[in-house]
Amino acid sequence: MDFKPYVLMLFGNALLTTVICCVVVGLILLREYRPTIARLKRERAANKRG
Amino acid sequence: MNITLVIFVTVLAAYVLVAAGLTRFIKNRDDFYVMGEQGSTLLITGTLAATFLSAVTLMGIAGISYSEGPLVIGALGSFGAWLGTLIAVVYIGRKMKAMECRTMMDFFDRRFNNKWVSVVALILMVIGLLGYGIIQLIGAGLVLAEIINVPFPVIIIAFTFALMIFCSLSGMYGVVYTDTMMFFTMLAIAFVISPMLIGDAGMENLRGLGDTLPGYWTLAGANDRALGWSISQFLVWILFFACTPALVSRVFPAKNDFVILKVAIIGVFFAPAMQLMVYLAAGAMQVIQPGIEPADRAMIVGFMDHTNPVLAGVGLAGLMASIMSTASTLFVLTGFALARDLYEKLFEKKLDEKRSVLAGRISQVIVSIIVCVIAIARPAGIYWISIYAGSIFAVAWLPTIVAAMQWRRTNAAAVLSCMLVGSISFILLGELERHELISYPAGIDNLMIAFALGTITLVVMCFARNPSPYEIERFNEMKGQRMSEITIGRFLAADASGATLIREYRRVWMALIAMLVVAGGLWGYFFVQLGL
Repeated sequence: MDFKPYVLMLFGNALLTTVICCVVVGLILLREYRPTIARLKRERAANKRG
Repeated sequence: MNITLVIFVTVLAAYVLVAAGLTRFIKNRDDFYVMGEQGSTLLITGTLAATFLSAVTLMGIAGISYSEGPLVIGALGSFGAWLGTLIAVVYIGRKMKAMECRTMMDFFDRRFNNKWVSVVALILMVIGLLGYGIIQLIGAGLVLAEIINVPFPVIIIAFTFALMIFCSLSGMYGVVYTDTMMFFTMLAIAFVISPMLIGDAGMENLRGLGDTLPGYWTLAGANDRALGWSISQFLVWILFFACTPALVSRVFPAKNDFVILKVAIIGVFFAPAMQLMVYLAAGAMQVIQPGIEPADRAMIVGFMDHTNPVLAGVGLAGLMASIMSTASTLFVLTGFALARDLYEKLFEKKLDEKRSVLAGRISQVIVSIIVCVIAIARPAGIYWISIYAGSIFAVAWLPTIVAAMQWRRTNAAAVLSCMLVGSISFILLGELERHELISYPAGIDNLMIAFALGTITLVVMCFARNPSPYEIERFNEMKGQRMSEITIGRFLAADASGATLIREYRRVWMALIAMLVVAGGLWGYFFVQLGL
């Protein structure tokens, strides 16, 4: 096996770009949307029970 | 009539017809400038990815990948461009959209309400957009003229005429829809033609290039470039892409925040996906046909001589798309700057909706004529401007925009000083180096020094002068403007149960997971094939 570290860097950076995008978007979803979504889900569940 | 000419005419006609059909959607200025904020994930991803992939990727960088190796620019320089695109979309573009900006100039106008700031920012934008756009048009037009065997002025007239039609008739609608069409031809290059060329070369032979051309699979490449050069490329591209209006403004037509977030995941994935496939295919061309001169024709030779006639046509259409998508965005933004930011706002002309759209259309015609004349005449000055045009946003705009968004003390005098010091020192230092009066240490260039000088000036001026009550008020207001709150409000107003909001929220998570899997699979496959 002939390991090429720079090739890992090339494709690793491409993967890292998507990972960073996903982390950033995930954080936005969790911080800015999740509280509202959780509240809406609770209300919908309560309405169904009621 | 040769087949390449038929493809050239057909593709241009298709774009013009689509744009003409979209004219019926233009009812008011918002339709013209931001397509009524109706951009879907597909459209915004299409326009972002198409604008990102310019002729520089298909020719210049593909040429370097062909002769020196795909890692020379791909591993660090392009990585900077990908991260810069993410910053442009999710940080700068998203924040400006929350402030209801229709152009990037709106940000400067609203944040500072200072004529000098607006005038300097506008001049820098017009020079930056036109200088970068025209030189790309000239470079790619010369190559295209040779392939199609049509005189260069005819190519330029045809291009600018098509651009004039779809920019002036349907404004942002025309640009976004045609960009999306162009995106699909670029996808064909990246995911049909490039894999074919890689397959023809064979993975083993591609790996073996490291034996015949030592350094081919290293960061330094076959020409043994210094590490400092690669780091410098990373910084240049991340700074340039983070605040270039061509990318930031792609966010403004988005329908809502969920679209922006999905574009940040999917659209930014396509930046490395399209580029690396092209770079690898350029490497494959080194196996298939070594010795292509000049090297930046490697991909064109690949399309024309090593695929079937249908794919050669698609490749040619993709090359045209890479030229036109970038050019149309740059030129439509210049037209917007002239009509909206200069004529309507700086000259304080109160126009009704109809006249505003008319002013926008007239300015697009003016820009097209100017571009056409300059591109055909090719004055020496345009080559000089192009050295500095693209990067002017990095040195003059990026520090000011980040400070204006994050720092309460940012004021008009500081922003103005930063823009002037950044841009003037960038040009001055570049000229001194060009005339061999000074030289910089390895890995340092005039852009980095100018960026540092501009930022230092900004910080000093922010401490030296207090912001005005207007600037403090606008800063506080801006901090309260969030795309998420606007989107939640709009969704709940349309559907109080929240079902639609919850569904869209889940879709973004699904897109996120799907793209992680796709990216992991794609890049993992290539690493196993070429890196182990």
